[in-house]
Amino acid sequence: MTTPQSRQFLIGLPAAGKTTFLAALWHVVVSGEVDGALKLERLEGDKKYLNKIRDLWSNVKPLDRTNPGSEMVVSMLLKHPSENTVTEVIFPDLSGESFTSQWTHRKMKRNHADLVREAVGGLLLIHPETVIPEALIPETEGIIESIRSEMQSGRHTGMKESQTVAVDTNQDLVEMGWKPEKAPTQIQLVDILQFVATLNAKRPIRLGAVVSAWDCITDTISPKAWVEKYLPLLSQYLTTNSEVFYAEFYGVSAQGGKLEDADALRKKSRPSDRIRVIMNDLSESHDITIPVRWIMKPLA
Amino acid sequence: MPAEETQKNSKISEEAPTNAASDALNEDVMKDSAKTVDNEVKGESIDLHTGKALTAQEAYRITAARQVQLLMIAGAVGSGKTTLIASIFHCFQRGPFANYLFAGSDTLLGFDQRCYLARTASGRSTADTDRTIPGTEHLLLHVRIRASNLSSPAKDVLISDLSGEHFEAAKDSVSECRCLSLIQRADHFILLVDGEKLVEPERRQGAKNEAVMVLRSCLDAGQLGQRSLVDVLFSKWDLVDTSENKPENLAFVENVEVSIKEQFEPHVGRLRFFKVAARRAKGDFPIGYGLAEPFVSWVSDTSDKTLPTNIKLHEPSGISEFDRYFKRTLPLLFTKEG
Repeated sequence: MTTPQSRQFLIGLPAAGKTTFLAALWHVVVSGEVDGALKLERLEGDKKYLNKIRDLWSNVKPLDRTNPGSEMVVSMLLKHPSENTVTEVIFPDLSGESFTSQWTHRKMKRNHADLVREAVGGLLLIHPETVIPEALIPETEGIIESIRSEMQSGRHTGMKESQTVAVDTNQDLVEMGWKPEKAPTQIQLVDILQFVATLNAKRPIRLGAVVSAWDCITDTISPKAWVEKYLPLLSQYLTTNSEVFYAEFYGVSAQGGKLEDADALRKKSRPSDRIRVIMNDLSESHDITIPVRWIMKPLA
Repeated sequence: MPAEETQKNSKISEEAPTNAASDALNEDVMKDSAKTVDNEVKGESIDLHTGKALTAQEAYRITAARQVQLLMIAGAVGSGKTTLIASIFHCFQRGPFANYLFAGSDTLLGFDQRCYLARTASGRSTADTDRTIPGTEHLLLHVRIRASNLSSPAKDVLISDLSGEHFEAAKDSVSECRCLSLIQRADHFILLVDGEKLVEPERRQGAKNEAVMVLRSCLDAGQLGQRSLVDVLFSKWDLVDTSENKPENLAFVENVEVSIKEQFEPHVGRLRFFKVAARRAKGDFPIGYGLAEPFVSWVSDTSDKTLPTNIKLHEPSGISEFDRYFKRTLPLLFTKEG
């Protein structure tokens, strides 16, 4: 009997945490450290890539960025903990630049388009620290004026990246031309989801919206509320297109903290204890397979 | 038929984009980018919808499939037409707007281009809007919206972004005006009167005259008529509200309103006036000030609402199913035969 397949897409702009998520997922399913999680049924095929990223992740070392030339499709033969069913889950690990390129160049690689067409669902990863906000000049006049005067007086000591936005000291407030890659993150993500909706005829498509690096978020806020607050256009799009995308929201800290705190993170004897998955009721788990189980679930 | 071929006329096409060269907006950026990708994935990629403003022909894909509200934004060069469009999109980027939620757009790249110079990312210290280049055929922005309570399906809205030169030509010539055939199809004719000019004594009569002459020309060309829904928007209201001679300027605005009402109200289906500051330059006006109220009617009112009730058609005997359907839909048009 052929093992059923569950093809999923994995969307995320550059540095959204896609590879870190996959590394932590592979560790959890292989190690069996988390009760109730999906488990590896058996090894099949070449798992060199997954083993490599898992080793780096478990040792809290930086993972190589996925380059457009080194994109992989990974598959895992997984057993559901309670249903005893075995499914081959397939994820493409595309570079974030591939998704940026869809928005900027209006092209999608044919093999990726095929994966999107066949997918039953997928994950959308958003890294809170790489979100490009829509900062409007009329609302930041005070900030810009103070930077200008500080620059002129030589007192400018630097600001957070999100505040400085395009106030580049080399360019000193010169006009810069429009480039699509400078578009706010939420606009780019909505268009990428629209590409998926156009290619994939299944309705609805299960979508796990994962806010990665949740350890950066200090507010007491649910993942869904976070998306509503910081990516309202995306939130509205998912609300109004529930017949297209059946979305659930998760906060995930796959690494468990920042790489600068690697020593502290390595002290945990079980790497999966570093993982935090936050549900919308703010309950937490170490089970990173929760969003995957949700997108694999057949629609009623 | 291969799956890709069936999508040739839909949002995703296997063909290389043919209209890229005609889109004057930041064409070079797109060209350079496309070149790089072509080299990378020669023959290995599919084309996605361009995301840019649509030509009338491209918009047909939407209008043929669904009921669409078409908003014609009119006004002189620099009166704030593109800023108004960008402002609506800015509002949706912040959350629900006028009790509507954003539900998608085929022209996100086009919106992004129009919003760019108002963002800090542009490196500017004062907000601006890129001028719409005369002659571009990519003049329609698309947005899908849905009521906040999700009580009804999403609606499609097309918003024209014609350059001011078209309206300057239209006010001077009825035949030029006739060329703007979109006006006749538009559900709403939205005319902007430049608030910046209204506060300058040496320019305000000109601003009034421009508005009056655009309306005159559109009426004489048959582009506007008894079924037309016309809104006059005094744009850049922040400048009027914070002007030194505010009482005098407000009196002049009142004068413009009265004059337009007297001349045109009897000749169109509905005529209303709004004061808006799409993106403030002065004072404490929020983004999209004054736009929520007219926006609700732009996306919901159609000219049918003002269909004159005094035109009666006789109901013939032995009418067809289609006629019966027509009669049920528009009962006011029918009187009993004899």
